[in-house]
Amino acid sequence: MSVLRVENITKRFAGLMALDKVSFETQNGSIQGIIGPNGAGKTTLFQIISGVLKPSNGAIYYNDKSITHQEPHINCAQGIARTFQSIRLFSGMTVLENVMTGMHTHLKSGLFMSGFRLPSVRREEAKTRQKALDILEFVGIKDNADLEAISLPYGQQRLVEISRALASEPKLLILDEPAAGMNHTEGKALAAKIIQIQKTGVTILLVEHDMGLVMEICDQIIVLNYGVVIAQGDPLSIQNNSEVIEAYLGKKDNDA
Amino acid sequence: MSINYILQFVFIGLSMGAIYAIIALGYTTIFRASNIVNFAQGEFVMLGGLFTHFFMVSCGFSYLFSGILAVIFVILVGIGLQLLIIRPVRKAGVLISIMATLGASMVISNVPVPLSSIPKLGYLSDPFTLPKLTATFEAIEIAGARISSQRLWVICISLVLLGILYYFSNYTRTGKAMEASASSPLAAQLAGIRIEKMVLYAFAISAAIGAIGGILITPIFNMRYDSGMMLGLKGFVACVLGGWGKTSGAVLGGFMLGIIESLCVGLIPLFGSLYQQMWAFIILIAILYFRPMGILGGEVEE
Amino acid sequence: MRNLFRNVNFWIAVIILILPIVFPEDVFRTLSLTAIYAIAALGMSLLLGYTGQISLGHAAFLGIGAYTTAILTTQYNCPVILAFIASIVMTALIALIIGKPILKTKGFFLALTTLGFGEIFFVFTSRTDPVIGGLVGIGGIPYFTIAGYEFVSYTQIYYLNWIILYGLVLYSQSLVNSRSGRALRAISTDETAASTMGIDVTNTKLKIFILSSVYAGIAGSLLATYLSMVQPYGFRVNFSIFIVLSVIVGGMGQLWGVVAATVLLTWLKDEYLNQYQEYSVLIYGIILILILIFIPQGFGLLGQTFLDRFQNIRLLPKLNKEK
Repeated sequence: MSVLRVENITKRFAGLMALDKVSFETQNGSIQGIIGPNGAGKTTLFQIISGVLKPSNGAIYYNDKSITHQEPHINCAQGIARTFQSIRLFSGMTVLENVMTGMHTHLKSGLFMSGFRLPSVRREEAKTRQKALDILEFVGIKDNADLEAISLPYGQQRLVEISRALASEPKLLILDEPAAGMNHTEGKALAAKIIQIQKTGVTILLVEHDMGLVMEICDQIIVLNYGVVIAQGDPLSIQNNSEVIEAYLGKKDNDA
Repeated sequence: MSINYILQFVFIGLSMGAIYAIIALGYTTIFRASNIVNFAQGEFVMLGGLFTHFFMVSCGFSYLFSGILAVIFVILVGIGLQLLIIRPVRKAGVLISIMATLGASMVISNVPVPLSSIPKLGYLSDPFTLPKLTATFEAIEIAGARISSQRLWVICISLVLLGILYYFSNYTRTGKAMEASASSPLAAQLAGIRIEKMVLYAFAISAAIGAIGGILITPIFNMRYDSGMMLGLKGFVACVLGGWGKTSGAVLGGFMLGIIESLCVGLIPLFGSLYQQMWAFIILIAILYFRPMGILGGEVEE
Repeated sequence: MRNLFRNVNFWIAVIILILPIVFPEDVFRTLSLTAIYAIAALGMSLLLGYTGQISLGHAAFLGIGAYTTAILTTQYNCPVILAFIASIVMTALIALIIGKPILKTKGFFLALTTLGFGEIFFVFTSRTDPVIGGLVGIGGIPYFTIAGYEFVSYTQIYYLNWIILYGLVLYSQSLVNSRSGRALRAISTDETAASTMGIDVTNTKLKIFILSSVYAGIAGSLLATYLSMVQPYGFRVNFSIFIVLSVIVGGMGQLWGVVAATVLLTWLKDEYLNQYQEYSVLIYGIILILILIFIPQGFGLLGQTFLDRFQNIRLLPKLNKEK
């Protein structure tokens, strides 16, 4: 069963075609990677899937229901969570508070009632706290729980963001360059973590530049270039795909 | 309710609309150049009238000379505002910049108060007016509706101003440079255009046209040192009505606001003129609710 | 028990209670008024300090609360306590109605739009004579009364206002440390990220707008009984700005800080501005600009920079980089 189905997504920005009829499916419980040179449209695609941006054309289906025009917070309530390429942690909050915020959608205490120190509210808060701590432990950064989130080193901030996303109990987890800013050891640890998350039944969609990571953990890979899907398949076939190699090599030549 | 009656109010609306359009254009010019919304826009208008009044009363200059001096002084105020208050605060963020322009507006509009305790300057805190541009002929009649000479001047001179601005933006080098830095700052910088200079020009232009508008409108009403805020607010409404961020939106919004407001005053029995200051804001709330991008479709978020 | 003595709330309660023993009666004339301003500022602190929404027309909500109480008690002989509740309901209702369109805007738009709303209120109250009283306003508002007990002397009113303020601070503290409090802070930092994390931004903004207006409504109602009269000029822009200023000076998210700032600003206003009534707007403007220029980086969400500069207190522990 495909958890996510992207159909002919096209996105135009004032004359620039960022995405052109992008289509693919993500199978339940799999880890799917999206790769491509910079500017290929990967983040734009994620913006559209998570509901922050609306496509010019095309549709997105989540568990066979259309979410193309749905608000981001409803997507989250239905089980889609994501991290951001540029790390968007909430400043002014501790690591723990950031993760607790991630649980927002599943909690019940209303705004006006929160002012009264009702026992039910306090109970829920305590549970929230504990659960957030559990997630931090799972991800491995429990010791930093009470530190200001944005004061952490880059790699750890990414882990906080992932924890926050996990807090919303997602069925589809979208990771935008989770390994960026991590060294080799951290990257390997991250890869292991992602597989652990997959084992809990979460489907994972990720964008990455770290080829080693991608090839190691992804079941399926989609390659984007200039907003167009140029290849789909398992890691081995992608590695041997001539178009893919050209897309990347071509880029390399320009940089040199 | 005859056609003449309605036409009467349309004319009044057109003259007010011209001023709103000018104020709206002032907002838009500055916003397009610097992404700042200038809270003190209305003060430029008030100062235009006040400075002219001051030069005529305390310095004895002629109306024409006073007017010209006033415009120059208001331009200086505008440039000063940008350099001394807005620039230091820019990097602190949007919220802080808002407060700064607000603070500036409060200061500018209230400076006449302490000044009026200086002997011979006591009149500064009182309502003031200016002589009409053509004292000799009072009004003309078009299709049975009477339009005063001053209002006619307002419309004509405003249209001339708008024409000059249009020519400037699209046909002169500086004007085109300003337009360029407004629509794509990076490209403009690459082309060698100094954005800071463009921002200064924007403030200068907005101040100038605001001041001229003030000189035009003061003979029709009694202005006071605190009249600026209301005018500024209505100019803002005009911008939103027409489509925020677009110069065409500012002009269209201005004239439309003037006419709608005037028609409300004239056509709504009893409440129309009683609440005449209110209609502009009701229009604002209505537009935000039904069509926040305005008539011509401007930006909605900033 | 030891925790109680460390609790700021506890000590402030003590101070509030024993003050009248120490000071003479007329100090409480000002302090009663200060509490009213502080209630309004507290509400604004939730709106501006926590959610980052700026409202420059908040005085209008005070006005709505005040006029509702005034009209009900003088024209309909309504008991004050019921009028008080009616004021709250009225304020909430109007905030709900105008909140929806207004909150579609942000930043400058929101500032100017709320300013416009404030103006609508002023025009309406100053031009409408029947019932509302036009420029003259409404007089003869009775003292605040609960179940027959009248709050007449300044000391009594002081206790009334400060106890209500205290309760509202406690309520606000609870709110801020809850799920909703986190949502508010998230929205003010990064609306997009907040939305992606499941927070219904539009709805939350509306709710907090309504809540902060209710605070203003409460303050307005208390103001009406304190002054015994209401008139349009009492609820203008400079009042709104004073409230915003209190929040900025107090540190955007510091609840007791905002109260302290209000006490300070009210005292300053009384001490130095009474002779210069007409200069008040000018002086506020200058203070505002100076504060904004000289506090670097503006005010962080919890007034962190402000605290850093003057008190060396960290609200959130930072990672110790010397590991």
